[in-house]
Amino acid sequence: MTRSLGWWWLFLLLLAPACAPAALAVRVPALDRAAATALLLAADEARTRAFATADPGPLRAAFADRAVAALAPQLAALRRRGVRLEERDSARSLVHWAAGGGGGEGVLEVEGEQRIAFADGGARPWSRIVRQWWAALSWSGARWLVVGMGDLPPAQWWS
Amino acid sequence: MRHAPFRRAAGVGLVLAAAFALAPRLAVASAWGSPYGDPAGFCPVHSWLPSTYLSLPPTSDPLVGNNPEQDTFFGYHRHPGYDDWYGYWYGDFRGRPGDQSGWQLIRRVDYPSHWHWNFADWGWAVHGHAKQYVAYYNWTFGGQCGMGHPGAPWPAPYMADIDGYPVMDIYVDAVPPADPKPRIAAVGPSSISFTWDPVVDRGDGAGPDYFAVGMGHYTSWLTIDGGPPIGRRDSAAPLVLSSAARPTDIVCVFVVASDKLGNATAPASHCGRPAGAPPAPPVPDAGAIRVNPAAPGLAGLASWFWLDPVPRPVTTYESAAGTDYWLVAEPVSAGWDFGDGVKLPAGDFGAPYPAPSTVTHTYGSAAEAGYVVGATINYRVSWWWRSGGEWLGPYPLGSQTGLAGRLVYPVRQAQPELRLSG
Repeated sequence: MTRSLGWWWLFLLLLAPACAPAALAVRVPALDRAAATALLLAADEARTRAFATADPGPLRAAFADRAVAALAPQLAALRRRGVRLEERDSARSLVHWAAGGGGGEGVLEVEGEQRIAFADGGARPWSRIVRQWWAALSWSGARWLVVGMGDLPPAQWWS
Repeated sequence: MRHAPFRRAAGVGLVLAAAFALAPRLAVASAWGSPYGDPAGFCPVHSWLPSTYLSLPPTSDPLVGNNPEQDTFFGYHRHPGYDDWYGYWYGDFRGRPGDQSGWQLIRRVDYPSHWHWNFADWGWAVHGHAKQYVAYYNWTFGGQCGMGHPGAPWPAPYMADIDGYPVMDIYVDAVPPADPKPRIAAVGPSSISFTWDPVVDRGDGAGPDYFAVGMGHYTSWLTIDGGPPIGRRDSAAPLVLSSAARPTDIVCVFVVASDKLGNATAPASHCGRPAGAPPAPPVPDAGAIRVNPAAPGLAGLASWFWLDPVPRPVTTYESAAGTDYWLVAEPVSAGWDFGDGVKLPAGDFGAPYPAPSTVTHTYGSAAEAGYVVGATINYRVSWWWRSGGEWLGPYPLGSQTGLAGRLVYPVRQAQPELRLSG
C-alpha cells in the first residue's frame, strides 16, 4: 500500500509542471529599434573599453557570460603581451536591425581611429579605421544582454 | 599457425597507422576557404585561441599600424635555434596585385626574447586586400603536426602562431573618392546657388583584391571675394548652397569628398557672381507664307502651306551693365490662321513643295478676293552669361511670338466641263 501511494506521488510530481498556469512564463518586453540602438551603442562602448584596458570587467554590464567567454581569450592575450587596443573619435550608427525571437540582431558601423598601446606608456600612431560589429540581444535575467557578436569582414557588411 | 592471417592483418594495420601518424596533417589549414589556398606547410593545430582567424577592421593606413599581430613573437624554448618565425602573404601586397611572397623568415627569436613585426619594419605596404599567415618553424612540435624531427628527410611543417591570430585578412583603402565637380545651379540679380553631383568612392588595390570602403560624406562651404569660409558643413548627399551677393562679388563654392576612412579629395571649387536676366532680344524675322498650288487655289483640293525660310534658332549677343549675354530664340511651334475661320494654334512649320507639307488645308468654297492666311511663330528664349572665361546657362527668359508676312490666297471653284472627242 505504501509503495502504491509513493508511485502516485511521483506521478503527480511529474504532472504538475504541465498543469502550471501560463502566466508564470517569462514575459519578454518588446525591443524596438531605438531601444536596441541604445543597447548596442552601450555594448560596443563597453567592448571598446575592455580592449582599451585588456580587461573583461567593462563587459559584465552588457554581455552574457558566454559572450564574455568568447572575448576573454583575446583580452587575455592582449594582457599577457602588455598590449592594449585603443580607439578614439568613434562615431557609431546602427546600419541594420532585425527584431525577432524575443530579441534581435543588429549591426553597428563604427568610424574612428585605433592604435596599439603598450604597458610602458608607448603607443603606435593612430590608424583610421571603420568596422561593422554584429551583435545578438536576448532577454536574460530581467535585462537585455549581448549573447553573441562578431566583427564582420567587409564582404559581409550591411550597405 | 591458425593465427597467421590475423597477424598479417595486424601487421598491415600497424604500418598503416604508423604512416597515418607520420603523414603531415595539413588539411585542417584549409578550413577558412581562402580563394588563394592556404600556404603549404601551414599547420594551425596547436593555436591556443578558439579562433585562429581574424579580419582586421579596414584602415586607411597601408602600413597597418593597428595590426595586433605585430608584437606576438616569443621565444618558447631554451634551446637556441628552435623558434624561427616565418610570414606568408598574398593579395595586393607590396603594391603588386596578386603578390604571393611565399614563406619568408622574419627572424629567429630565442627564449625568452620577445620581438615585434610590422610592415613598416620591412618597408612594405598593403593596397586593397592582403592575407597574412604567421607561423614558426620548430622541430619539437613538428611531430605533433605530422612528421618532423631533426635529421628527417622531409621538412617539419610550419606551426601556426600559438599566441595570437596566425591568419589575418587585412583591408586597406588609402585612395580618396572621385573628384566632385561643383557647378552653378541658379543665378539671380542678387544671389547665386551652387550644387554638385554625387561621386563614388574609388578603392585601393587591383583585381580580386580591390577594396573600396565606400563613400562617407561631403564637406562644402562658400566664400565671397576670397573671404573666410561661409556655411561650412558635412552632408551625406550633395547640397544646394546659396548666397546673397552683389553682381560685382565673386562667390566660390568648395567641395571635398571623403570616404568612410577619411580619404579626402582636394577641395574642388567653382566660382560665379550674381547676374540678372538680360533685356529680351528683338523678335526674329518670321519670313513669309508659301502655298501650293500657287494662287489661285481650288475649292475642295488640299493646299500645302509652309514658312519660308523654315524658322531656325536665332542667336543674339548682348552686353548690359558690364555683363556679356548670349541669347537663343528657339522656334518651337507655329500658329496658323487659314482665313476661312479655321485655325491651327500649335502646328508645324510646313515643308517646301514638292516635299509633302505637314500643314495642309482644304477650302470648302471659292473666294475670288482671296483668303487672308496668317502665321505666328512661337519662340522659346534662353540666355547664358559669361562668368570669368566660362559661359553659364541656359536660363529661361520666357517666349516670343513672331508674325509671318500675310498671304492673300484666292480660291476658285473647279467647273465641270464636257468635251467632245473624235
